[in-house]
Amino acid sequence: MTRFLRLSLICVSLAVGLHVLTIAAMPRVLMAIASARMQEQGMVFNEMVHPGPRTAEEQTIVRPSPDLLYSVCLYDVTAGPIRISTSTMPDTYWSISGFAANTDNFFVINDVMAGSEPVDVTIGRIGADPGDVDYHSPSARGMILLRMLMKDADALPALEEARRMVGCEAVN
Amino acid sequence: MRAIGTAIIVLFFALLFGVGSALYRVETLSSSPDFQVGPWQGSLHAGSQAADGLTRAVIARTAMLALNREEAIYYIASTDNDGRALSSSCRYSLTGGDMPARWWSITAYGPDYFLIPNVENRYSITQTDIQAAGEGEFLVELAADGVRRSPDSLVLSNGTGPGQTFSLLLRLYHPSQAVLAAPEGLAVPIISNLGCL
Repeated sequence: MTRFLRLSLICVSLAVGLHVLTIAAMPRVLMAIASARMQEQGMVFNEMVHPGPRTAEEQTIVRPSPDLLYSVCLYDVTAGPIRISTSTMPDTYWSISGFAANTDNFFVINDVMAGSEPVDVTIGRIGADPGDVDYHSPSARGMILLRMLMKDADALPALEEARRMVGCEAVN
Repeated sequence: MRAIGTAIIVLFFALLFGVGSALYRVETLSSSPDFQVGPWQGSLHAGSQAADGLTRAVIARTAMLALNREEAIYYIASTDNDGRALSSSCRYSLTGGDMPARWWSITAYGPDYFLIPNVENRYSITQTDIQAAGEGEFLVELAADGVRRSPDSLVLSNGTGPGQTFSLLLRLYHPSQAVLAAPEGLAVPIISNLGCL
């Protein structure tokens, strides 16, 4: 085998490995970038924040819905579980969903599932908090996202009031 | 010294082709869609813990924090019904009817996957708009200037400059069991090209 052929084979093998690694790492990297951007804007872990409706001037995550109000909590369950709680929610579509560091959507609670009851659930790390929590996050860090449908502008004050009652905090 | 130089060259080309091809593959959405109906296509594994690596990467790049399919199902169109890439240089009509879901919306996004700036801050057409118009069928005009040509239509801006690509995202929240079972059976909106600059 010539030296050139041997080097070419090494190069191709490395390129294939890097191709696979890049695709595998991309969700975590993009999630980390989004999280870093939010922290630059003042967000801290285990606290729900309530940005305004998404517009062309106000958007951090790709393909936001302009028809939803989003509230976000960057969570960290390294030190123990967190609690997500709401008061009575308004009569519209809403959901609270958890996204692990690799972007997997590991739980959803919506208005149909909750009925008219307030939400009060705990989230812990897989393996670290066995049995004592309602949902297990596959990663120590991730995002909790509250979506609320804004059917018209008149509904906005009630939605704003309700989402500001949604808590995301460490249990201990 | 020569061996180090050779190693650097090999590593350079491996990085160039390995990382470059991965980014190109994700950017060109070359994961096979799970379903396609006309120009609209989507994945049944958005947000799913069962998704493969490429699907996860494509979703993270183009629709991060997508919900799983029981909560919402997503249809993305990047071409018109004749297969031509959607362009801000062209005008389009979007025709269709109500869809079997608790609520739905269609939103236009620029080539960077972000909302397209426009004077009226109107980024989407929703089931609420269609129901308010009182018609079962709807007509949406997509035009860069956001100017309505037909009296009974709704209008969306599809770009801020000539020749920019854009995409449409149809979201169905709490889709019907029929859509979940066969998303390719949905009567999706028809995207027709009305002429280009």
